[in-house]
Amino acid sequence: METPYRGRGLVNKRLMIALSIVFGVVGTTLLVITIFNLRVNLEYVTRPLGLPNYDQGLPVTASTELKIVKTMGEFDEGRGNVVRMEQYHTDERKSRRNQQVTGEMASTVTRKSGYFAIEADTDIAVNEVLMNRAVLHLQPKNFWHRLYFMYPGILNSFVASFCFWFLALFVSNIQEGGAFTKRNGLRLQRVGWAILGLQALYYIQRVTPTLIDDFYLEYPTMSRFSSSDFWFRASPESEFSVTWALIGALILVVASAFRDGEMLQEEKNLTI
Amino acid sequence: MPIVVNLDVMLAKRKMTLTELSERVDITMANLSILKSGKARAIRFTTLDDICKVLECQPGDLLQHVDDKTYKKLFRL
Repeated sequence: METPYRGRGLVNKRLMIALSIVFGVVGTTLLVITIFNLRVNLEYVTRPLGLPNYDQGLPVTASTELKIVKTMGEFDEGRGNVVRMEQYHTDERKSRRNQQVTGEMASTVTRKSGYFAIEADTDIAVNEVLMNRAVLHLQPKNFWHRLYFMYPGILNSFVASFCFWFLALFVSNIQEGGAFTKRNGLRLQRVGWAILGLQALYYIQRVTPTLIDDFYLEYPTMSRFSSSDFWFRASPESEFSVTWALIGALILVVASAFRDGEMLQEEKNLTI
Repeated sequence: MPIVVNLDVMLAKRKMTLTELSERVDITMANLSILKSGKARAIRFTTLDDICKVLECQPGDLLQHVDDKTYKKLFRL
């Protein structure tokens, strides 16, 4: 008679249950913070902004001003807000890979507008100015804005807790010698759908226009050659991950294999 | 499935109990009950060989093919 598999190391029921409880507590804590607006010292309002790059040949600028015109929250002037800008030039004789950074500016935004000076090498034409990263600390104005900031963390925690709980039950079944059962197939299915469903939600959020107030950064430039206003609309980066979507799909495939395995197990049990 | 295992008949002919057969063939009582009740899906040749040796019979003495109607009557399905 075959000896049933006994889980070892990371694959054990108690660890899975512990992780499930931990994630459940984290999710609940974040939810409580969101509902009751508990201003604990968490950087939960910090979100890197996926700012678009402007590469249509900006004129050389002597200085440029960054203003935060409209946001979902109140700008926190005292925190380490940062906007990073980079400037590139391209030598026409060389390939694009040889772009060099001629100027780099990282500045701490301590008030609602900040000045950035980009000094261009006058011998080389400036082709691109990239605003590639801004981290702004904002305090959300109301419950819905708080939820908009917090919902990825809350959802990720609860989904992780859910998945670890079902994995604990799954591991427990394996340790008892019954891997291929209908229940285990269903458990894996639930885990797979939870992960895939979460990624689907994040993808929908990514591709649909933001329905509520967003971050607006006004980016007017003052140039010796021209005065133009360049407007950006930035929104928080999506939590969507192709890797996790694939993992969810893979778990669903494995779950269907377990259902087939269940039939084979039953055949085996009824083979004398 | 319409294959009937006539274990009872052979045990009666050889004047042997199911328990005795279980000990001599090294198959659990539970498995022999599954075999006897018609719930078994398959039987290994090695198992068939062991049973035939102990009961001194042929596989055809143990296994009988019946039609669906008779099978359902026999097992009250």
